[in-house]
Amino acid sequence: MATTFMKYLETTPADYDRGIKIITLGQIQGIQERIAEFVQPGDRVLEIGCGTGSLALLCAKRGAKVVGIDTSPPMLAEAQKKVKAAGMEHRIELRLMDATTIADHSEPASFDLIVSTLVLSELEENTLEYVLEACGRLLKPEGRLLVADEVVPDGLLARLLFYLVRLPLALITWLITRTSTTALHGFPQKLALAGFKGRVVTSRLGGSLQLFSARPATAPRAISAPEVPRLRHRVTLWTLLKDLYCLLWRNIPPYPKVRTGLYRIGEPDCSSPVLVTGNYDLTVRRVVRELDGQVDAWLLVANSKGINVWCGAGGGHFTAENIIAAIKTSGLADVVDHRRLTLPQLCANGVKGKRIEQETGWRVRWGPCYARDIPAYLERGQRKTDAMRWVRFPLPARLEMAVVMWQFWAVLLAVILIIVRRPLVIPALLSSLAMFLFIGITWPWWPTRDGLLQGVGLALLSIALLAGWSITVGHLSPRPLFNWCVALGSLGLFAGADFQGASPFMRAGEAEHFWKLVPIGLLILAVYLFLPRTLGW
Amino acid sequence: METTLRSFWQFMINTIFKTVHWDEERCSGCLTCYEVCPVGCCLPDPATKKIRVPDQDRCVVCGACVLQCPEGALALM
Repeated sequence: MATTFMKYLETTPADYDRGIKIITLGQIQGIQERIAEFVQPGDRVLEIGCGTGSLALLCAKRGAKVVGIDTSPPMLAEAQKKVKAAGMEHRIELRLMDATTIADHSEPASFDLIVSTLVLSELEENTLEYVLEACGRLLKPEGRLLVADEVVPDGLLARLLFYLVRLPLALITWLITRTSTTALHGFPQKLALAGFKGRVVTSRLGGSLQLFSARPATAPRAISAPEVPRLRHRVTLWTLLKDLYCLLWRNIPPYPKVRTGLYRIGEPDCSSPVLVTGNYDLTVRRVVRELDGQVDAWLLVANSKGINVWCGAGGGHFTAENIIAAIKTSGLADVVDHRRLTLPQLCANGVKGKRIEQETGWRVRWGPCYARDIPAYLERGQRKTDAMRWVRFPLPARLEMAVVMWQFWAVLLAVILIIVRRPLVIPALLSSLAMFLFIGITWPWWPTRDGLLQGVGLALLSIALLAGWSITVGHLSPRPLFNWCVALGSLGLFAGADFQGASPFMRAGEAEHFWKLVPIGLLILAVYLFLPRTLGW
Repeated sequence: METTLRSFWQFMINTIFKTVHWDEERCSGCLTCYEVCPVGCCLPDPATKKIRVPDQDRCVVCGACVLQCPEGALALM
């Protein structure tokens, strides 16, 4: 179900709201109301990560003028609808913006309150420090920063309870809504570092959901420019284990991530090219593998939520805002004289180049699809050949993908069948492998590129082969033949649809939402249960 | 039930037949779509100094061309 999982990652605003409600056991509402209690009429409020606007509305209703920022266009669209419905357009201004650019778009000391719920924990550590400093600059001297977030509680018993309860709750939330939250670590220390004096206002869920209130106390400490670390290609047991993990678990989080920021490849200087990529560990290691020892370049790792750049951009998890944030927090402008970024071509479906140019002044160039073409690309003066522009799916890759896709489900099938019906294990594994290999080999010659149609084709082919064998050699009676047809047909449908997810030619939007494949499954189930009865088998 | 079936059918039609559409009038010939299309749907046309789309079936509906086109000359339908 790679195809389904890739689009499964895309959450809708409704999903997100529901997810937050579940994972905070409904407490989020009370927390937001508590935050709103700090609002005085006439206050200027900035909400970082306003989402669908519920907190912004609560503040506006108490007489504040609110600026709400978020990096997700669908969330903002939803928020705009709510604001309009409540008639609060004159009080609430919504902007598509990342937290790292807030200081560039507002006057210093211009806000009475800066509020944020369950957002700051999603930021990388150095980004969080940067944002807190920016908040310090934007708040009036008597202003207040109010942050509510998930916190790992102190105390052994509380912590044990936290993990015991949170883990299954987080899993259920993710399954239903594809939303997950992270906990804040060491927040009081971070507040102090940014020049705030803070305290916990209220604490819910056994200390795991806390509301902090902080006031600017001292001038924030200047951040010294850190040494830019060098990335080297290294194969160790740990990297092999990570490779295996990515191979086996593919689409199921947590995704191993690299810390965002600026890195060196080789010995770059102030005129070396700046290459951008996402923070999925496998992606970064592959890029480094192709480039280490071949080029001297800067690698800017931006937050793609641990997803590869293509899926991340497609699912709305990797956008121009993430790259803008990376530029700001890495201090890239101090390290490099030029203002040109080279982006992976495959994130062009989600990262708007113009947006980066407008916000930061950095010009965007689209590099090759494959990291291994980067050295040649740079040698050609950052110009691509057609081969560099287009994804390909040659036979070795197709066979590799067939086996990789198969093994994940083979393990699952084997485990289920060993428990339920042991003699079926070998036939199931062999026939599913045969199907994946078949579609891998014959893929270029199929008349359609659509995964579902290919699955249907494969199902019909398998059933036809089975029926042919049964009529000539096997002579199965109707009921067992029917059962086998349903089993092979389902496997074929599944293999075809799933293999498409392994191909770079998967059409976006295929099997867009997981639950939409359920009708097909139910139909097959219905046929399986009722057809024999009606035909008297 | 009926609306569910209908929206499911609509969804199936969309995902199977959706492809890229190019508005020649709006195109300024910047060739950005050519730079970002991963499957070679948008190709440069030296004759017209714009692009040509010889094979719509190649389109994987990724949306890169639509997002990057400065003139809004491309759409997925």
